[in-house]
Order: sequence, then C-alpha cells, then structure tokens
Amino acid sequence: MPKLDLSAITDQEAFERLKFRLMGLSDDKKNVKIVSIDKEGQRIVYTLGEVLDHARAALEGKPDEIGMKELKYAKERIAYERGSRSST
Amino acid sequence: MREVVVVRPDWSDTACKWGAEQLKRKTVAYAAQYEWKVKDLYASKANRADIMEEAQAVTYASVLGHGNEDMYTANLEEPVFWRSDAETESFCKNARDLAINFLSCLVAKRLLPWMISKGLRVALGYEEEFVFAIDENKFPNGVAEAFFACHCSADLKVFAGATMKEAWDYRQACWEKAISEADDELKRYLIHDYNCDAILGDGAFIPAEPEGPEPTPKRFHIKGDFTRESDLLTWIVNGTITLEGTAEIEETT
Repeated sequence: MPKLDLSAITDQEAFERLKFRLMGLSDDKKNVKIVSIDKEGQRIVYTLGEVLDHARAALEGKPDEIGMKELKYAKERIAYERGSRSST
Repeated sequence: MREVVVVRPDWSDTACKWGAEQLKRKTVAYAAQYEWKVKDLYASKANRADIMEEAQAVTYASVLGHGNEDMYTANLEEPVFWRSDAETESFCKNARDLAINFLSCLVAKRLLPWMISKGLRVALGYEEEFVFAIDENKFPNGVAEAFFACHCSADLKVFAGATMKEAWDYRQACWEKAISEADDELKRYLIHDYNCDAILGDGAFIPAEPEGPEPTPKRFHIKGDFTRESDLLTWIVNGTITLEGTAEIEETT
C-alpha cells in the first residue's frame, strides 16, 4: 500500500491539531510514556504531558528531536484521516 | 511438528522488557494454540550464536531487539545481523525457506532489503522507529497492549497456515482496527507504526507448509474390465488392482 503523503501538511497545521488533541489531558494520561528512538538510534522516553512543549520548541526552529517526531506523527494522523497517500 | 524460533532479549531496557513480556503472552501462546513447537530464546539466550544456529533449523522466526537501518541487535544490544557482514550473508544464503518477523526499529529500510537480496526468503519489519506507549503502573497491560497485539497478529496468522503476504495484510487490517478504537491522544503513534510496517521478499511463502521431500507418486496397475465414472475420483473395476512400491490404502465404502 502506498505510504501516507505528508507533503501538503505544514508544521503549523500539525502543531495546531496536536494542541487540539492534547487539550484537557487527564493526569493519568499525562503520565503515559512514549517509547521511541532518536536519530542516533538511542532510546528516548517521554510523557504525553511533555509533548506540546517539545512540539512548540520544534515549531520555533529549535533542535528538539522529540518535537520534530511529534509534528511528524501529527502529520501522519492528518494524512491518514484525509486518505492522502503518495502516488508511488 | 512445526517449529518457530522466538527471540526475546530482556535486560534493564524499557523497550525490550515490555516487548519480551508481550511476545511471551502473544507469539509464544499463539504458537502453542496452533501446536507449533517453540524455541524460546529469552534474555541471555537471545544471543548471536544461538539465533544464527536455531533460526536456520526452522521455517519461521519472530524476533525482538533494537535495530537501526543497517543492524539488528539482541540481548544487551549484541549485533546479530548487519549489512555487509560475511556471517549474515552466509546465514541468508541458507535461509531460502525462512521467514522472519522483526520487531525492531528501522531494519526494513536497508538491512532487510539487503538480507533478502542475499537469499533470506521473506521478512516483515519497520522502515522507521517502532513507537509505542506504556503506562508503567499497569505493566504489562494498559495502553501498550494495542501496539503489540497488532505486531504479533502476523505471527498468529502464520501459525494458522497463511502465506506471509496474507499475514502482513492481516496485520495491516489489525492496525486499522486498533487505530479506529484507540484513545484520541494515542492514534498518531499507531498510525505511524502502521505506515512504516513493510513486507519484503516472497510473500507467497507459507512457513507452515509440510516439511520433508515431496511424496513419491505411486503407480497403479489395473487389470480387467473397467468403466470410468469421472476423470478424477471414481473408477469401477471388475478385475484386480496392484500397487508398485509402498502406499497406504484407505478403505472406502
């Protein structure tokens, strides 16, 4: 199946959607941990409660790897919901 | 009996701790459900020498471990398969009847295409990082469950006798279902894993196919008068039938 096409989605749009999704997160949910890796392949673990701060930093052009990943995940969700896939 | 090698590294590493427990409760249990024998390489047993040796004796392996674009590692991050390594290449040449399901970040980007080009029959894996969510107060269940249930669904399908492509298609459908049912703030992580889930190699391969040589055709000598009622199944013989070679004869009425 063709991969999701993220090319038409801006960082700003992804951030706005992320902000909307994470508004009013309960305390239980804030402590849920996300397990991933950085670009060097090292493990990174962060909480849902920290996501918006990271994403905001990435949006402002800071080298925040978690933030950049979160913006990408947010774009993937937008593309998935739009059914937007690459033609190749 | 069919046999699967399950590789479950487990040390003080969050991802492997959760993954190892999940593969035990899912992949290992699914195998038992379909009467597959399990060679469970857990913790220190999940090392290069044992993986290389055991995986070559089976048609299917489900492996957990950290990875990157060029390397798959097992317990304590011991490198197991890596690109341009002579032993990995030799392993692949002898893996023409082997399928491997990798729960490992990034390996489907460069390592698995290379392993397939060297002879490994078919592999499932992730082209980017496999991301998942955990609630440490609810180990081993909670929000992690959907991520691993989706990943391990391909193992379930293989044990039931599916081709690797059918198993991968089933996993894709499981991701879609999980995405539709997930809490709003977790959907994007499931979508990411679904989007980077890949199959490489011969998708028509069936790990559960019977082992051993093809059955030898038996020749039947028919003497006497007979009439044929259909091309394939029913002949009415008024005379004798003899067999050449050995065969099991099943009585029918």
